[in-house]
Amino acid sequence: MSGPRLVAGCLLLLTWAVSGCTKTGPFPVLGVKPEYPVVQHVLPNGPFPIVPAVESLQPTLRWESRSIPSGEVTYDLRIWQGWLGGPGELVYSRNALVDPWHTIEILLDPSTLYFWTIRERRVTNGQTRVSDWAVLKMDPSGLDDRRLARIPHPGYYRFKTPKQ
Amino acid sequence: MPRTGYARRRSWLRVGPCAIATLLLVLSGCVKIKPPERLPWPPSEDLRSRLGRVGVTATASTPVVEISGPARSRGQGALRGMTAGAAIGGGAGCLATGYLCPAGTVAGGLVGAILAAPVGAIVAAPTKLEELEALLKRAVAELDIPRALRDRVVAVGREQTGRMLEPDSPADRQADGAGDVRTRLDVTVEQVALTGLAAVTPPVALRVRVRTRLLGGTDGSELYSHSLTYQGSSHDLDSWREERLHREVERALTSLAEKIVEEVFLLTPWP
Repeated sequence: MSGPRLVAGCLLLLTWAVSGCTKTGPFPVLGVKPEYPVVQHVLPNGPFPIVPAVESLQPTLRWESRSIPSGEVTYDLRIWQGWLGGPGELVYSRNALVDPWHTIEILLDPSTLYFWTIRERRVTNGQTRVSDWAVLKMDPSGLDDRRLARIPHPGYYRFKTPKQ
Repeated sequence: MPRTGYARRRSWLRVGPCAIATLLLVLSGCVKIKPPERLPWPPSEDLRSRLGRVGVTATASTPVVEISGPARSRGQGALRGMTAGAAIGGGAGCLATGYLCPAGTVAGGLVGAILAAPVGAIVAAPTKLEELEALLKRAVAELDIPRALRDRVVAVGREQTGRMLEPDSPADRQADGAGDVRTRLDVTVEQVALTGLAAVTPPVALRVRVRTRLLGGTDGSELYSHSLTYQGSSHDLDSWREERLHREVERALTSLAEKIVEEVFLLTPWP
């Protein structure tokens, strides 16, 4: 095969391969699903999440609401400031939120990575019970990421704040 | 018949990838990737209903206190520098030589290793590491981390579960009259460490590893257990002072106590 044909063939192959990389969609999650901001992924079923940007330093986070027959559900929310390896310092915490959305009551730092997660809470017969904290489904082997014996969990949802 | 330059390049094209693939195949056997540790499912509701009054104990054993990652001596610094230099030099050598990638990798690796070894030896900070290790040991002793964690579990547990949780030790039993506890929640701090990547002077993060056991019955048999690791955020070796260490330990204890209470008393499979 001549040089130009080889180059053209390689370029075609590369274009085909890259076309798969440009498909985005919601990253699979375990637990309460986020509605805003939603983490997208680069590769179909790939391990690389794209960090979504929020529009304000006091964003309104939203998540799915689920009703269960055995009682009223409320939500617990946690937000950590992020660093390269995952969530760092816990900066925001609210328990028993009634609505499936919450506007952050503090001013977050600009241009900063944050990790957040949500869990369900219910009280039945005077006993409080909670679900696992929601995480991105990142384990390729299919194991339940929520049961990772590490805190803070590196797979929490994430977002980046705007410049100002 | 003498081989032309083109023929020589073609033979490299065949040999190069084959050599790299063989090397990777050999090395793949040397690396065992341990799957991350998982938590067991939480205790059943039936077990929780039978717990009664729970005494929280802190195992008296001293946790392993260590720093892992940074080079501990000038020699180790030189070795780490050599490894990093070889990797960077090898990569650069491969990129620079194109078809002759295998030869470029070897040559670049050698040059990188030779240049980076003395740098690693100079940059290594064994004295600083000794000081930091002494600071960590002092903090573990001063803060009495096992006891502090036990008290934090009691406080968080009472607040979040409404259960009768009591600190439990011979002294506490006399003071609080907690002799009628039916179940013991034993918390063991196994490791308090500052860890980073195996490099010359990498940033390090606080790691605290804890084992929790629920012991019950007349014989104190184990009803449930789990191990949990707190991993804080990384900071440069220079920035670890007493204040930061205490702050990080506080953060770790709060996070661990909340997670222990959550796993043992609150968490349930959700419909």
